[in-house]
Amino acid sequence: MYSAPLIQVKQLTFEYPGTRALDSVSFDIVKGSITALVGPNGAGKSTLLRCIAALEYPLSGQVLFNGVDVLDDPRASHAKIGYLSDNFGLYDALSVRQCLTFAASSQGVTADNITKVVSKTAEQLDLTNKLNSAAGALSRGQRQRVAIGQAIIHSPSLLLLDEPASGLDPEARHSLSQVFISLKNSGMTLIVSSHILAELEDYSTEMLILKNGKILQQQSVHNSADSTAKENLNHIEFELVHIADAAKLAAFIDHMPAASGLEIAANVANLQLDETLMPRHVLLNRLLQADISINRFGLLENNMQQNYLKAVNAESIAS
Amino acid sequence: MMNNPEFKRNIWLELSLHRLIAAPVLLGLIFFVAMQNQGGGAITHTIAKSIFIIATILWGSQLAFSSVSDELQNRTWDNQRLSALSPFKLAWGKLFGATSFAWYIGIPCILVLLFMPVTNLPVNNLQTSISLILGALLVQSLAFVIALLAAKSGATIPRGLSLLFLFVLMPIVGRMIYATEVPNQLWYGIAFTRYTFVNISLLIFTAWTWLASVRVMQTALQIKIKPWAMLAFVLFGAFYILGFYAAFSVGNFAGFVFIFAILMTYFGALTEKRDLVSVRRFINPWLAQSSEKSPSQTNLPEKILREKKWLETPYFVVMAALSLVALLFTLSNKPEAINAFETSILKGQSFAIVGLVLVLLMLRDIGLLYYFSLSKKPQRVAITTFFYVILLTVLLPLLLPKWLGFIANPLMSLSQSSGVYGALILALLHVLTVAALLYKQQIAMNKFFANRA
Repeated sequence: MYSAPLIQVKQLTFEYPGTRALDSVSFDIVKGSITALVGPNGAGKSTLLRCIAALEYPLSGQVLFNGVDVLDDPRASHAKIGYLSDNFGLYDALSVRQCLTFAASSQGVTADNITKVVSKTAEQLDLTNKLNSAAGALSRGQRQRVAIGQAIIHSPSLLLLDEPASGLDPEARHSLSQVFISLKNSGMTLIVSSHILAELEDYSTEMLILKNGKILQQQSVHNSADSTAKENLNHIEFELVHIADAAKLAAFIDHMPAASGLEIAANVANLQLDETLMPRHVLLNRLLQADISINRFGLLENNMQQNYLKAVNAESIAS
Repeated sequence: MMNNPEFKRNIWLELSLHRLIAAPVLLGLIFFVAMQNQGGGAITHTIAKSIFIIATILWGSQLAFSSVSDELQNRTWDNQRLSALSPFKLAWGKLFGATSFAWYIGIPCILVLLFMPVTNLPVNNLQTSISLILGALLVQSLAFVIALLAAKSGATIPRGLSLLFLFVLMPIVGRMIYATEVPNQLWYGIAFTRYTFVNISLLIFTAWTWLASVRVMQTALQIKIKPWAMLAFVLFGAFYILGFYAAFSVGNFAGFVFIFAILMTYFGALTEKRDLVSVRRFINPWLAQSSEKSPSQTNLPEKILREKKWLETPYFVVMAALSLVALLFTLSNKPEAINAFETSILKGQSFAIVGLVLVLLMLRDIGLLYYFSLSKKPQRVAITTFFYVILLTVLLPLLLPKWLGFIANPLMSLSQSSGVYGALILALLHVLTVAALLYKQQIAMNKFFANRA
């Protein structure tokens, strides 16, 4: 589905005095994806984002942006990267219009285009009626949107967001999710760090789990942000009474156009169901009619959270 | 100028309509009241000078310092580092933008000095005005460079401390501005009028600080630079200072390069980022080189320079060592060339021995600085190092018996005619002790990471 990697991280190691924040981290980020960078506090998420943004020198390893080492020409990388720090700041005495105008001009937007770009960004982030307000007088959510506006005003190809929704109310979080989805749809690649998985579920296409400076897992996430074709797909999980029914189940699902992506681990089965073609109660009925005994059946929610916990727990047991 | 977004942003912040109106009104009132007194012209001149100094030198340096420290404090520094502005634009946009209101107050004061006629002035108003402007530019630029160095090294410098250096500069600036006598200044035997010499010196040093601000800004923006500017400054500084003391000769010049390189090494070590990453990035290529035997391997010094895997301090050490070698070479060929330096500056001691002892003690001090910097919880590193250096150099020699004092401070042995080689051996022991401490610390650190992995 996606083209060549936009970001390649190779054996990245970073140390603070007495602490190895990143330990030989390697992964790729494909163009046009939204990667959720998750992990407990102190996992190394912020350090990783700062290294990708060429704001920090790693001890060893490389970050390639479109195949070029960001440390070889950090300024060229900076021009194509937007970055929102977890504890970002604004020029409180300036108006929102001045903040965005300054960001645009300092990011090299031409003088002719600045007014247009500022209006477009303000509209995109629902800040049009706040353009003349001082940044210092805005609410937390509005400030967050101004900061995001500053980071995206030059249409970077990569946007790095460190805990963008922390401190926001549910409504503001939802609105932010819509912004991220719209940025992704415009062709931008996003890496969003957070330890609040519920918010990431709404828009992420990839999940990168980081713990103690190491990558535990990188996997794709299927959700509504994936594509419009998948908008009606739901994850269904059910438990078979008899493991022996697994082969029968696979053959049964194989002939069912509404269901796809069947995965069976022990006696637990997962699949994606297009409920416009077949509502889930009909599927349950058909399974029972096919003499497949079911213990438990339901919509799999918080897929990301479960995967995350599974990966983190597996690592804890292994260590 | 308004094409520079950073300058424009600072203008938005500094020059509000209220300030633009209030400042000239207030200044006009002050000058008007001053003019009403008998001898009002002279009083107005003094007031204009004083307001200029308060606004541009005292407050202006604070504003220049804050233009960087406020970005760190308000967490906007990362955005600046990620902007597409060139280091030059960012540096001058900050320096002149942040101080714009100080100059808005200062420039009318200069106009008063230039255009208000006053009789019996010791120097002409133009020269005084040039001195004032250049003095303010130098002090502001210095404050700006200090703030950038603090941001680069990750140190937090209290804003008030930025005024400290003014205590060093103020007597010079004050003497310059309020001088009633105008004697000539001899430099390499050439007589300059004092004001001309001071103004040219101020201009040159202001240019150096501007260059420094752009260079430090480059490193803050992760741009790779080579340390030629700092090394050139060592050569210039040595040449400039030598002019006050002696005639130019290779021996004298090398002697002053040596002293200046030692001072700059301390300066470089104190302002450099001394974290484990920087040190290991410097050391790793050397270790890799020793384990790689490929003949096609890039020349290592060039590789280090190109990849920015270097620290500046070692280059000053190399420069100090090279100037010492140059001196020794001169000594072997032309003993008379160095005699003047040894007689006038070192009071008859052998420069070769004194130089080696000083280099070794400098290595010890920097080793101590790095030992404290690389500890697991580094706190107040510079002050801790300073305390230990003072303990070894001053306190222990005062408190301990004489022979133990020699061990604590090898420089004391130099005062004994037979003790010069003893001083050398003792200084070497100091260096080896600190090297052993650093080695032990790194072994412990490696074990820590190995266990963790």
